Parts: sequence; C-alpha cells; structure tokens
Amino acid sequence: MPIGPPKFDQRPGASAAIAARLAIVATLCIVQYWLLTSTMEAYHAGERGMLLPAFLASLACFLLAIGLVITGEIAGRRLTSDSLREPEPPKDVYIPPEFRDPE
Amino acid sequence: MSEATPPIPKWREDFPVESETDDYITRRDFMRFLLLVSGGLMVGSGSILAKSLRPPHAEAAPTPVKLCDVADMPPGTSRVFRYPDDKTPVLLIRRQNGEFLSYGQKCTHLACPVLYAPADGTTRERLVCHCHNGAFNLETGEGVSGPPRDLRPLTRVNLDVRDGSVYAVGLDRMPRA
Repeated sequence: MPIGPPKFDQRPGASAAIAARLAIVATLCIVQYWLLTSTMEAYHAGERGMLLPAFLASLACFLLAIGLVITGEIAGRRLTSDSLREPEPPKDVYIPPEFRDPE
Repeated sequence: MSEATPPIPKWREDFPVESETDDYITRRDFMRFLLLVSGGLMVGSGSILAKSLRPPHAEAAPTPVKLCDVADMPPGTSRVFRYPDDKTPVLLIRRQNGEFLSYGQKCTHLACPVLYAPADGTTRERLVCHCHNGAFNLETGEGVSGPPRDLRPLTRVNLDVRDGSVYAVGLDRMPRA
C-alpha cells in the first residue's frame, strides 16, 4: 500500500513556528485575563477612566490573536495543497525491463 | 448484509466516553480554541465597559424602609436584605455589643458575597469574603486584608433604629474617582 503524501507541514522550522504562534496566543489570553480582572476591579472601585483603554487593549490582543491564527491557517493550507499535488513522474530514468509495467 | 454505520460527530470524537478512544488535540486545534477564549475575554471587557456607560440607576428613596424588628436579631448575628432595589443584597449586622450596622454584600474585589464573622478567640468582629480570603473592617467597611485591602470600602447603608425596628434610610457610597 503506497504511503500517502504528508498532511502536515514538513518544512524545517514549521513545527517551531506553530509552537511559537501557540505560545504567543496563549500569552495574549493571559494578558486579556489580567485585563478583564483589572477592569472588573476598577469598575467596582468606580474608576471608570481605565475601562475604555483596557477594552481597547483586550481588543488589540484579540485582533493580534486572530492574525496569528489566520496566518497559520493560510500557511498550513497552502502547504497541504502543495503536498497533496500528484508528483510528476521522473524523466529519462532507466527502468530495468523486469520492473517495467506490462504493456 | 451490513448496515452502513452513521458517521461519528465531531463532538463525539473530541469527548469520547471511553478513555481509550481519546486522542490528543493538535496544536492547531488548541490555538483555535484559545482564539475563542480570547474573543470571550474581549467580550467580557467590552460588556463591563458597556455597563459602565449606562446611566446609573436611581439612588435610594429617602423614605425609610423597614428591615426587621430589633427583637428578631440577637447580638452577633446577621441577615441579608435587598436594598435599595430588589437586586442589590445588603448585609444587616447586629454586633456583639448590640449595635446595628449594614453594608452592601458585594465584595469590592470581584463581587463575591461578604459575610459577617463574629469575634472568636483570635480575631475581632469583621466582614469576610471567602472567595479570595479578603476581610473588611466592621466599623468602617474598609478592606483590611486580601485583595480588598487596596480597593474602595463597602457601600454603607444608613440605618435608623427607632420604635423597636430597624430602618434603612439611604446609602453612603464612596465618591467615584
């Protein structure tokens, strides 16, 4: 049974790139969690002035996370479609008669 | 004759009943899940901002609201009432010396319910929040330990004790920054 083409990124550094994206998105989530708890504390303390900057910072983190995930998806999809393409048969290669396909 | 088995839904693959059929989530799927979490956190911050932009509800009416009779609360006990509206819980405390006090029950840290803790052999009377082990001074409502220590005091409810009954006669909020 022939082995199918790889369905994941096999380029050198691809795994590290995915891990780096994941680490950055996780860090952004931690920052957003801190922003949310700080926002809630400020709201209960009546400090309304910092609510808008905190929301904008959280929005920026979310947009950055979206960008990282989308670029990862695009890169993975492009590579998968490339790797799934049928390889071209080699040319000018001598095949011994015993290995040739029967006519 | 073999019948065609229905396809297994995605949620069943992700959350199988048997642990043997469980598999590891890919980093790509985990990143998508984190993106969902990130969106939820952003919406949470936005909802707090939206809530702060709404006009504040009307302050307590100056007309006194009867909370309970003095005889109903022995010293060293507390009760929860709703004041000034039906959604806001306030804690009515009768101290061990007989004095009545009342504070909003929402902790100024993360709005957990605050409870009255009578004095024991080691600590004085105080208000405690068990969510993050916070404590408030019973006389002033200011945080004395835990996360509320650096925050505003609890909202105080002004009381009027007359004719053997306890009345709430308004709120004493801290001024906003």
